Amino acid sequence: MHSLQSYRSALQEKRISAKELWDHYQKRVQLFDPNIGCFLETADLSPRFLEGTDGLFPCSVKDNIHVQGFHTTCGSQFLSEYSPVFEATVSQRLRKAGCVFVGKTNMDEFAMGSTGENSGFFPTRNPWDFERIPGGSSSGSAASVAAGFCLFSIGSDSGGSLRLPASFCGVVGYKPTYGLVPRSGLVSLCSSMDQVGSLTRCVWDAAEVSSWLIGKDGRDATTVDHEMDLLQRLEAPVSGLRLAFFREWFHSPVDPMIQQLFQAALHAFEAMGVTVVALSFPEIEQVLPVYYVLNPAEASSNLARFDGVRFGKRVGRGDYSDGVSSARSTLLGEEVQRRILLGTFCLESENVNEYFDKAARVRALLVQKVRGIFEEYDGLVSPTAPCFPPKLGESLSPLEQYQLDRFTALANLGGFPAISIPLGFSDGLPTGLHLCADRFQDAKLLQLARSFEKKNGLLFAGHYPFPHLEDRP
Amino acid sequence: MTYQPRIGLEIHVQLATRTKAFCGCEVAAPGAAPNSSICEVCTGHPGALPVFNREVALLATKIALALGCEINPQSTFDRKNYFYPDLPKGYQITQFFHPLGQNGSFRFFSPQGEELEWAIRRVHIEEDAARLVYLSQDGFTGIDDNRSGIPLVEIVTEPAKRTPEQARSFFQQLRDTLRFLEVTSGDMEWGALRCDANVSVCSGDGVRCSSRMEVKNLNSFSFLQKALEFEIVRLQAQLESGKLSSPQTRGWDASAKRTFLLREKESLGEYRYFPEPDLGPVFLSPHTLSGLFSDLPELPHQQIRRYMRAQGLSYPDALFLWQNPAFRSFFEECRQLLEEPGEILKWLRGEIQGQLHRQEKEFSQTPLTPKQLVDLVKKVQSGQLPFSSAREWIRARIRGSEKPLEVLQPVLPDEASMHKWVEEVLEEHPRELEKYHAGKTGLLHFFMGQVLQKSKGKAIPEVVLKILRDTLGGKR
Repeated sequence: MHSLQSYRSALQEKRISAKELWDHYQKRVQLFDPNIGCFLETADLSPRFLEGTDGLFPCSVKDNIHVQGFHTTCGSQFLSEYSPVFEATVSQRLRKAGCVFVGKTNMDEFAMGSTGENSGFFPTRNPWDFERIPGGSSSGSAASVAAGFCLFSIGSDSGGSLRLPASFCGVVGYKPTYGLVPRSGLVSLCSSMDQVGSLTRCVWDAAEVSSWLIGKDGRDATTVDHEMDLLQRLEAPVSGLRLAFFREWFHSPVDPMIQQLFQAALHAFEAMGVTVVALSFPEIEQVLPVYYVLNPAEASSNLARFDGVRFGKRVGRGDYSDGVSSARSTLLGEEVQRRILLGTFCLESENVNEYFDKAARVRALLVQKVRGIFEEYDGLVSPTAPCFPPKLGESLSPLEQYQLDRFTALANLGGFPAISIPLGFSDGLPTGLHLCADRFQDAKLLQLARSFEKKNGLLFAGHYPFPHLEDRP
Repeated sequence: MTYQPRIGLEIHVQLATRTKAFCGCEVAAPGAAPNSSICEVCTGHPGALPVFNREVALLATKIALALGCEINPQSTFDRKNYFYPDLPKGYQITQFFHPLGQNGSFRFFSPQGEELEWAIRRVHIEEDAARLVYLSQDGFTGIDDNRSGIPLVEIVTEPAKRTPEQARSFFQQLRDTLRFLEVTSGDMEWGALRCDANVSVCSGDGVRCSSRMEVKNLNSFSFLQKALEFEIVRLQAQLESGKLSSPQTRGWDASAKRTFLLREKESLGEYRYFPEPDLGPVFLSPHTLSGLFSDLPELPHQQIRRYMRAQGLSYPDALFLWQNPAFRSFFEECRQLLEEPGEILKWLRGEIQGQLHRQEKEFSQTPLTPKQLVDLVKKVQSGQLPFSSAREWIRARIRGSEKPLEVLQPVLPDEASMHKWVEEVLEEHPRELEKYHAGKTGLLHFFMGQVLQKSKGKAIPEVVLKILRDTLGGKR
């Protein structure tokens, strides 16, 4: 059972019951998660609601999204005991669609990171190779789908946090247009870029799960009322559509094998009647500098509430200011502290012109230019990651880590929908293809992704990534 | 050496909305149990997002329009970042870059009745912080989030060459106006209206200036005046001694009647402002704006000015009528019947208001008609009715007596008793009499007052005056 569709038909034909699937996942989590570290908290073993006969879809949720009955730690020691006082809108919508929650997944602390190693608890491992990272920040979510612990997972994406781990774990990571999916109940990292999305095993599931999530929310002023049918165009032919990629993307090193797979993908699109054009867009080099000014700036403000007074623990003695600094310097991880300091610096009155304001202006300019490109092209195509998943503890420098968001962060700057789908394998390690479209062109994006998926084949639809462990009791 | 103070005011107004600015929590009544009206949004729980309460925009726009501001049809929200235990999110949602209103002015009257104008720099929307409750035992501090997220409008004036007394008048009349617009309760004891004052002093030639001092939380009209007076004296002394201090934030100690240092302002406002990404702009359509504008009533200062001009009233009389709408229409009817309104106002502001207060009655509950009061005033003025009888009749009338004015027999004392009272008064005050003869003729009114007092109001002023003049003239 590897997709919603196949599971649903199996249910109808009574080849499987909801309880059997639930138990199947539970058993796998028990057996294999100690090797991988996807979950920070798992559900009760046999929830009573499973006795119902409705289609029940076991899913996992990233631990920065509130689910009733679970803690929300954001992968941080700071919130290790925090129970949310309300449920995220997306969690409510999942329940309404008949989903049940297997557990809350591990992540880079407060979604800051690209490797999954920044978890305040333990790092998640890549199901394809336990020595490697799964990518972040939705590390546990992507790994839990790849490892076969649930049908799909819900995560968040502020610069590539769904798509990069999707690429490293060989699954589909889809970030819808900003404003389509409510953020209420998602702990904010970078409010103007955060978006909730899905990690699934195929494009159909991405479209179906997201169709449950989208829609205006009275609790999130940034959501939009936009009627959209994500499933309608999935199987429509793509001939006549136009894709572009930027030559400058390849001015920095990209793994040769990935370049080769990417070239093959372009040919596959051309074979389907899609026009693929290489464009020159030197401004693309500005994406990461802009992103890594604006993201820390907003994060420094969003995380200010974690002062040890209302949330977190009191550390040491002393007055209010002492309490704030000791709680934050003790309980927040290195990357979180780094970004808070960076963001605070960029917003200070003597730096704000040179950093935050300039970055905001360049962002607006970049987005304007890219939207101009979207007037002529239906989408942008690229690899999702410049490399295959690095080894755990390979100790990438912050700058090397930030480079991992090279292809993905643009979508967050513009609020564009973007998706990573399996592109191919090399030495048993997966890598992803990245597609990005104009705002609210989600249906077209999914159509392009589905056409490639069909052409390329579901790379591991029928099996799990660690057959060598399958025989264990 | 002369000195010139420059004063700027920042006034926070809690808006009288049903719910808070960014969540659905009802605004708790003053004195409600702590943390009885809170939710995940106004307590800053992670994952909770603000949603703007449209009622806030309407009330705030009303204020900005009344203050003659240019209205921004697309004002935006920003975050003001700082750490303080009363700030749940670690930032306050405010309007910094594109405020709702700018470049307005407020007209008001000095206590002397002079019409003044004070420029308004900006009017913007923001959210209130939590209330900190200092618990006496153990030095613990409680946080009451009932207040956090209550909508505020901040009114910032331009610094102006004004006196502390004028600042007080400004604040007082601003409150009258805001209450009149029904945008706030204006209850200062509950913090619904709060004032911070900035003041600096320059030498008369403008060459030397003190640092700017900010005095926080001046939550009464007299505190504002006294704190400014205190600061101006203090800063003048600094200028004279040449020992200038750096800019400071200060508080007002009401019992010691002095300001005290809260903190030095080394880093002047390091608030790391940036646009609030969780909220869109506050849109005001031309239709909404013109509707709010045309619904704006005649403002208090306009009404008062109109009374002063049309009725020939002094500022205190016009203010009295504005503050007492029931008296106002009564007065206007009296004006139709009597040329000179001075006596009418004396009765209204004196005996009638006093009696109403003593009897705990509303003016509308009394059967007194404008014609009756005018007749009464005329009779007293012409000497047909002694003041004491008139007063008795008014008191009875307010108590509900239906006895018409006509039955009031003019119980006029005979001239003999009035002569007797005059004789007695002059005998009792030989020193004043001597001074009178030495040329201090103003003492005539003193004797007059004494006679009226002796007669318990029965004497008729015109007659007494005549007798006094005759007697004193005769004895010269």
